[in-house]
Amino acid sequence: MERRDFIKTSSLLALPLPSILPSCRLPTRKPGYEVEVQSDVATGHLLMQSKSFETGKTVSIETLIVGGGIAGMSAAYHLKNREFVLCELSDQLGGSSSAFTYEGSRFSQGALYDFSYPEGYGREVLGMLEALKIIDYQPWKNNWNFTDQEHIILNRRKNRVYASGAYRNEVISDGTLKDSFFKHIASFQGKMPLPARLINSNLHTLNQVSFLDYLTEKFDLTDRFIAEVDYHMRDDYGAGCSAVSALAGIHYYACRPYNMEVVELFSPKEGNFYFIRKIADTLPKAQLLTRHLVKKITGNQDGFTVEVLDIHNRLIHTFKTKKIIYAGQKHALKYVYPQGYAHFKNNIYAPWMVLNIVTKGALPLPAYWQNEILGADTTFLGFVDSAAQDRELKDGNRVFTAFYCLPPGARNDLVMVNSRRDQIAATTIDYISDYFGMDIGDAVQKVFIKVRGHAMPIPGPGYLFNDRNFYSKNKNLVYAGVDNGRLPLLFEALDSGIQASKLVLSS
Amino acid sequence: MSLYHKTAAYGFLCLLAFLGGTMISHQIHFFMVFEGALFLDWVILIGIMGMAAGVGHLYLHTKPLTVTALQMAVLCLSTIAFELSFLTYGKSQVASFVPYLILFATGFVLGLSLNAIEISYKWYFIISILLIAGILYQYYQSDRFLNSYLVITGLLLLLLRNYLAIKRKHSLLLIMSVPVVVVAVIYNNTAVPDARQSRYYDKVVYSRTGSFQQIDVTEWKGNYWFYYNNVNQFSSIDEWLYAEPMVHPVMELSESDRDVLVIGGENGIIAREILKHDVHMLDIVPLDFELIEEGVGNRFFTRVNKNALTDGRVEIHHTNAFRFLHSRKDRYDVILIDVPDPLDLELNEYYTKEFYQLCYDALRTDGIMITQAGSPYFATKAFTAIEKTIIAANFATLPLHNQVLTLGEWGWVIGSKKMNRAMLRNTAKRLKFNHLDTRWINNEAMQLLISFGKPYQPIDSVAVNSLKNPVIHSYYKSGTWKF
Repeated sequence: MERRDFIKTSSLLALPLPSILPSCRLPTRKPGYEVEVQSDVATGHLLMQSKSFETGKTVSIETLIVGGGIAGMSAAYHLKNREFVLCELSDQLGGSSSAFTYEGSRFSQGALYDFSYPEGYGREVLGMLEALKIIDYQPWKNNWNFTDQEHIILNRRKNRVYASGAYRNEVISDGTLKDSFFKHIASFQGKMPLPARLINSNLHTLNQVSFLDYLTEKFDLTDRFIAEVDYHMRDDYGAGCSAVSALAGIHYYACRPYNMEVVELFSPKEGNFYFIRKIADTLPKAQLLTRHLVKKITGNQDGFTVEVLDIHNRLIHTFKTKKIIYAGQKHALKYVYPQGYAHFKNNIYAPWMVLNIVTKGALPLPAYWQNEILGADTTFLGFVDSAAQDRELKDGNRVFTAFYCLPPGARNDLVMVNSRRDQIAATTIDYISDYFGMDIGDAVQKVFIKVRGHAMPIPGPGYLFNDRNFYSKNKNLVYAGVDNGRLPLLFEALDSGIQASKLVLSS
Repeated sequence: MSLYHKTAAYGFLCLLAFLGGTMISHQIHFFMVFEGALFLDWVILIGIMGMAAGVGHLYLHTKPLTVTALQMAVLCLSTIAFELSFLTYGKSQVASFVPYLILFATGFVLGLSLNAIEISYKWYFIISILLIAGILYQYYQSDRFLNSYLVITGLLLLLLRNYLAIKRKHSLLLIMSVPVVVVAVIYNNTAVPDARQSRYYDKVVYSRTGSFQQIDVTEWKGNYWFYYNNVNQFSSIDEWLYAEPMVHPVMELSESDRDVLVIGGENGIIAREILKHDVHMLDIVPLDFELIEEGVGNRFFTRVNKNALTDGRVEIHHTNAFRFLHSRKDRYDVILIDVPDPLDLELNEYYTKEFYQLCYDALRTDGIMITQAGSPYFATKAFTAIEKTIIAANFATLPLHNQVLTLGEWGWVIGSKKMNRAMLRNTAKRLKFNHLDTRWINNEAMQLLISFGKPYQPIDSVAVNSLKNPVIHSYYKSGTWKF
């Protein structure tokens, strides 16, 4: 199909969202692929079912870690010589960094990259990653880079932007506004480390204002510029620049010398599950319990009594533990530990939908890693192309991982994903076809839709530096995870696990 | 003549006419691949075929056995006609006659076959219609296997006709064509030009689409041109005008039994020249892992690099050059950097002070390095900045340049750890290369390589290129590339 014809068709489909869920077009023909939905919505059903579960064993342990994402795993890594058990609800570890396996290869379903770490970043996390042999120091560049070079994405294949029917290199359009914006950003270079708690307190005032207000004051903004910055903010923080703090916004651009030099981008096909795997390899498997749902935490004199659903064996175990690191999603505290929920009730989370579109056959090359699409449907961010993660082209499956960042209000619509899976898959394939200028539908083998109702906390004004561990009453229950006043980034999650483990060891 | 015999004869004739049409289309397509669509081609090709048919039909009356032999030969030829034209294209001047000859032979045999049976004027009309149908079919639906099927059917009809005419001897003859057709069917479609051909005038003999690169090889009269992402990298006509100045001066400026490192150099030509010297080991760190696969195993590359990359002294390291250098201190006598021009920030890294410092540390105390440095005339600022950056990394430098016919004026910069600038220049001046098997370089050529005339880009006017302050890629882009 000619590109021009294609745009004509697809613009009819590009309906503004959250309407994608209720009003996707009906597929014109039965697709030649299967669509599978993976959602945590089933957790609710599980809790209902659990009434019929039988009583399991009662176990006493020193520390219980709730959640097997990056934060929980990082905490476990630092407690590896101690007595601990980690419970993860899903059938595999990873949390927001999970991956799925298809025909023997693992593909990311969430967070899927990180950049090399410059001077000034937190030594504890760097030390941990160095000990895990994930990174090493490059004296010639004064930074820490990833040791597995095969997962470094070539600079010239990092990204391509598709907007108004044309390709370009950068999301932010060239012009004087861009120049003055980046000149301003340059003044923050070196002052925006990770974790964000290391940022000098004289910059903390930036945490109180929205990025949009900050920019409006400094620059003569255009709608296009705002839309472009919005795109970046949604991609990393789950919401546009009006909902994100100025500090988070500036941090996005100034945390690494992106405009000065080549910043190495690390993105294995399995995404950030790579980090999970590396940490898990150092830990005793028996202490990492998957398909275990922490249902109820009750405090007592000696510590806590925790009800844990063993989903596989349909049992309810009782864990008696002195200490807890809660590295799960904080919204679940409402049911698990209501006393703790009060601290987090102001957190706002962005719902995401991730589609892994598995294809086979001849599709356009060269491939770009991130294909940033700025279209009428602003919730659709574009897709990552696994062909750009291969240094050498092999005849395997090429997977397009497409991302939708939905507004928090659309969370309730996510229950409809299952019944509308075919339309969602077809619409996304249309978006990608439009990008390539050719119909990729026939090459699609299978589509996986991963629904993440609480994919990331939005770092709005006042959000950062609010570590609940400082003022929560029960010091034996420690919070980890990026939704404890941190930026929603890998480095922060790792650091939160380290800090939580330190609190547990010191109390 | 029996009815069956007649049916077989007419059937054969019809088939031959249709086949003739497809042959015209094929040859037209062949011309279009290289020279674009011209109406004139159609007129000339149809004219040639028509004329040949006329000659065959009106003026020649040969023995039935000869006619059968010719019919058989043309049938076999038609299965490989396109490939034959394609294969011979660009080999020599005479090769362009192949398509004309093929069409002449087809038309001629068609004429002879018309002659072999008495036919009415109605049949001339039918034959012409079928000829046009053959052209149109192939024009709109280029089914390249169709000819093979037509030929098999044609041979069967020919066999049947001769059998019915009790010409058993002819039938025996026909059996000989079976292997030809079988081979043609098996090898059909092997050397077919693809979409890449439209970018080149010369014949594309090889192309590979990689994950981030496009490699094409074209041929013209026995010489090969090698393209990387549509840009000519070298050609077999004059690759030595690039390789010899890059390799032999630095090799001669170092002691024997050398440990050598090449960064880049995926095509293996540099390695070929290096191995002419007394080399203890040659490490190669490619930038493009797919390209070096070509250098190792692709016959177009190995023909030029004389299988240098599979030499026992060569070891290829699939790793990052910075990391590799960092892990090898005080290890090499010669380092040759043959990487692409600094087109972007990423390639710019291979022209930075930090990179040259890593090279400096990886070299032994009397070590020497050389880097390709783009064109000293088209990108003068970048060329000068490369030299300045190498000086900043503590080397004494000596710039070189040479006229590479297919690339233009090209340049290199030598960096020596031990010698000072004057000593390096004087020693280089005296290099003889007598004992070496070279095509061009000798002492006289050496004088040419180091002579630049008055410098027209003062070295103070450019900055040192570094990872934190990258400048060369912007200098490179501001070069006077148009000429």
